[in-house]
Amino acid sequence: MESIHKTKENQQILNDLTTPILKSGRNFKLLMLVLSIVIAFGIFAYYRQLKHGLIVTAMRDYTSWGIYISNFVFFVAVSLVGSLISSILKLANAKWSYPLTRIAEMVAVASIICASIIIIVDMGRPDRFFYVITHARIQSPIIWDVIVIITYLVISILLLLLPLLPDLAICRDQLNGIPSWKKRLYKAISLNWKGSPRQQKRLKKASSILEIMVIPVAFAIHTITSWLFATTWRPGWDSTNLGPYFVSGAFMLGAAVIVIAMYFVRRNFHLQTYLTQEHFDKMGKILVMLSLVYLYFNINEYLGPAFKMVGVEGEHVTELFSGKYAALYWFVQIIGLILPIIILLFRRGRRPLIMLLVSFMVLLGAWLKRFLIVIPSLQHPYLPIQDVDESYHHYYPTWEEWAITFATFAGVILMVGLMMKIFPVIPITESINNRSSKIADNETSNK
Amino acid sequence: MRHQTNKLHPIIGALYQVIKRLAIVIFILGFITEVIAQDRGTKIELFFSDTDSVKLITAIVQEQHPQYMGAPVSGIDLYFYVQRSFSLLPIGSVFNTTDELGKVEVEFPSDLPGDTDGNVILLVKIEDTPPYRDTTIQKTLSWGIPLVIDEQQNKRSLWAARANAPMSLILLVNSILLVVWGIIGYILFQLYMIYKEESASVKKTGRDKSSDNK
Amino acid sequence: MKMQNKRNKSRRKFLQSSGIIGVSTLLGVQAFPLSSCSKKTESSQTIKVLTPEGKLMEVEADQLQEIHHHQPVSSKESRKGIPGKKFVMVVDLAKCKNARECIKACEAHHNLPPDRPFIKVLKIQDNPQSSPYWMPKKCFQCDNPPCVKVCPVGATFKRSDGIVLIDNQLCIGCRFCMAACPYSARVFNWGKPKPIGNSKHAHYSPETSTPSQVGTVEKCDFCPDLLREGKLPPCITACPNGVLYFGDANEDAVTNGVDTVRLSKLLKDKAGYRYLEELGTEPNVYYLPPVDRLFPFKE
Repeated sequence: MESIHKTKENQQILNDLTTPILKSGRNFKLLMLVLSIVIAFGIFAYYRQLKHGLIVTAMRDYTSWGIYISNFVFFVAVSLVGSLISSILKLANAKWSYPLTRIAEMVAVASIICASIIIIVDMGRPDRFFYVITHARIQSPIIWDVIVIITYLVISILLLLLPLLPDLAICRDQLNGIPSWKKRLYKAISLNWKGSPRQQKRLKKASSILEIMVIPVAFAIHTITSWLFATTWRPGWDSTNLGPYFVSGAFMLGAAVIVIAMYFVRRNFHLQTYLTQEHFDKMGKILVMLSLVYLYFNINEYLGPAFKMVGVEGEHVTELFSGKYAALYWFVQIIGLILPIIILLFRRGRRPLIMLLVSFMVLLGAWLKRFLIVIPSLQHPYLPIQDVDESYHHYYPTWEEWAITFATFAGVILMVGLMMKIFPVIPITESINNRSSKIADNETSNK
Repeated sequence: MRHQTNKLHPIIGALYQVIKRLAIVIFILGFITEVIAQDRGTKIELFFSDTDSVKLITAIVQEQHPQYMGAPVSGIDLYFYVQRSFSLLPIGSVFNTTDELGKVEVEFPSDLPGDTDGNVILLVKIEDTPPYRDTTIQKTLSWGIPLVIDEQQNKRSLWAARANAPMSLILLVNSILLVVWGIIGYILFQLYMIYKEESASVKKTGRDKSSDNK
Repeated sequence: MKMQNKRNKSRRKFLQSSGIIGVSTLLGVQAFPLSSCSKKTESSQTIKVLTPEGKLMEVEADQLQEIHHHQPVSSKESRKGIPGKKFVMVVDLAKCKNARECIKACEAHHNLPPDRPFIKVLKIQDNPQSSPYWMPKKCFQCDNPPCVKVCPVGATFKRSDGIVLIDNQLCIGCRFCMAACPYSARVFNWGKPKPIGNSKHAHYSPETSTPSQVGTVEKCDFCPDLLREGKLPPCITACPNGVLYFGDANEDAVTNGVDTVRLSKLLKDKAGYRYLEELGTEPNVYYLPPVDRLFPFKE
């Protein structure tokens, strides 16, 4: 039945990789508690918003989209990481990347769920959410986005589940001392996996189709999200460059998120033998490459308007380069893009701790970048903002908005954390197979 | 108030009374004369001619007052209007004054839209021209350009209702959906088969085992 | 005496709240200055009102109170538009001196809070050399409306008579239309809307835009409920300077409540233009350039 040989090494792998499921450290429990408190606080803020309306936010008639939308774009971007690691790297035959696939898929699923929640939070009438299905107008980019988000969520879950089947079967068959609900869960979702040749064949077929299909869907989800902006006449949004600009930014952000997740998984679950320095080095190289691509689209995005300085478009660019948003803009470009590229170009810059730091820089830059994409554009309409209350001229998010934003971050971390307590964070079967093939390779080379 | 009035200088008081009475008398007199003056009715006769696409309206105004019955009313202004949704659109010159025969000619604009049949409502008025009474006569003419209603609403477009989405968009979105969800369906089917095939074998082995035990 | 006072007071109150619309419904007239109907009269039984011909007319006070507002049309009906019409507005920038009467009239008609008007009067200066001018701006009711294109649920829609309306019982509050509108014509009910002032505002129809609902978008709607009755929107009649013209493009006539002119001739003679024509939104609001102005620009 199971093709895993009960060798000492394999048992070691099994023990290493199932320990996070069996035992939770104090730090982990504390983290979950803190995250739950943050989420509870966010829920309270949302309760206030439901009670009083969107008036509790700092959004007003001109700045009609705020950090909810930029946060939505941010999490949609993060969710692209799933396709990057489990599909693109896999198809590129980067065998080293297999321990990252599950982390990536967990992050992808969690962030796409959170993105959907944020977009509902942003709605003025969440009670009418289902109108987007019952009254859907196919002409609206929002409907395209709804369709593609649902599709991507399903694909992400499948992409998480499919390679998980053999591991789930291992958990079902070999884990002792786990609560009965967990046992039942493993039994239910391992789909009678026995590792029979027929099952292997079917799984392989399904996985390879899925791995290819996720790429266009991933590109679509973020391109369509960019079209929410590009289909309007706003300065900074009215750009044909916006699709690739968003997608490339998302891949860069995704790589950074993986590095952060990898760092903490490695440290807290003591998986240094599985997530090695080499993984950081290689992820560093990927991150620098993706950053360079993003830099290219960034230059494309701003050079034209900055050169021409047409009307409100020119005002918008001036505001970013040397106006009200200059500090934020240059912080994002330098700390979030240029500096990471420089650091990561050096081998010594790709060590775990520095990588973590750089990834946080990228993460912060990416979030602020999405703030800069959404808000300043809205503050530069064609017709001047006059005749309105002082509060309409600027946008400083309220504590409710921040609370909800932090709650979404906490939600993603919490969801990923909980998934790591159910599913082996590093694929067990692949680790064992990989080790076997490595041994085999060594044997042949020795001969 | 009254106390204050009594305290005023007697001469001013008397003057006030005189002016007040005078004003009332003038007002009443004015009213009477106006009523008498307005009594003079008129008859407006309209003639229409359409030659070489020049559309002419000829109005002839005659006295209706018994004293001057049938006499042409000369030197008064007629107002020509076309009825529109919210107001009356004046046509003709600024002043359309009748000649000594009580006649005035007005050209009807050749490019004025009417209803779907090309009908317009013409109004000819005598207004605020003492001693003549205000008069309005109305006539439906078929001189307007017939209105062609553009059924924009039923056209397929990006801004139309959901039922009128562009066909290309519907086809594109649906075919993409069909392909993607078809593949997802296929993968789900494979998962189902993974589940089903082995559950059959589990049952089978289970039965085998039980039979062995026997 | 006391009683009469009381009656007087209540009548005045009624007149103020019903404004132009109430009285004109009764008389079937289009326009007269608001001031004339709040005029004090000697008898408590009659009220003097001014007809469009400029004549005073006495009306029984009791009759005025019997006016019932037409039941607004249903949501489904309001999607169709008034047959054969194509509504259009012309704004003569040479005449506007920011009297703000249009804003007030609109506020009263739509029961709007003063901080969120449908109409804005903007100070525009085309270039540093030219003199600034006032530009009244409302919804342009575009023929290629960006807001309608992006609406995910069809809560905002374009009618056959050119008007773009919002059904606030369908609006999900995503605010995509606000982002899409290049003219910033739309406003959002961020908080709870203003309480309903009088019964006129109580029956909802997309054609009346009242009562407002929290979490939904609204905007200038050209007052189709009045247009159905052959009446001009209150902003047009309220303007003391005759800046705003309104009419049916299919009839080629617009009126500012006093003068009626042919639309085509007006646009030709005064070089009418549409704001930001290059965006291709095809607005139904035209502007006449601010040349030969009637008033010097004053803040």
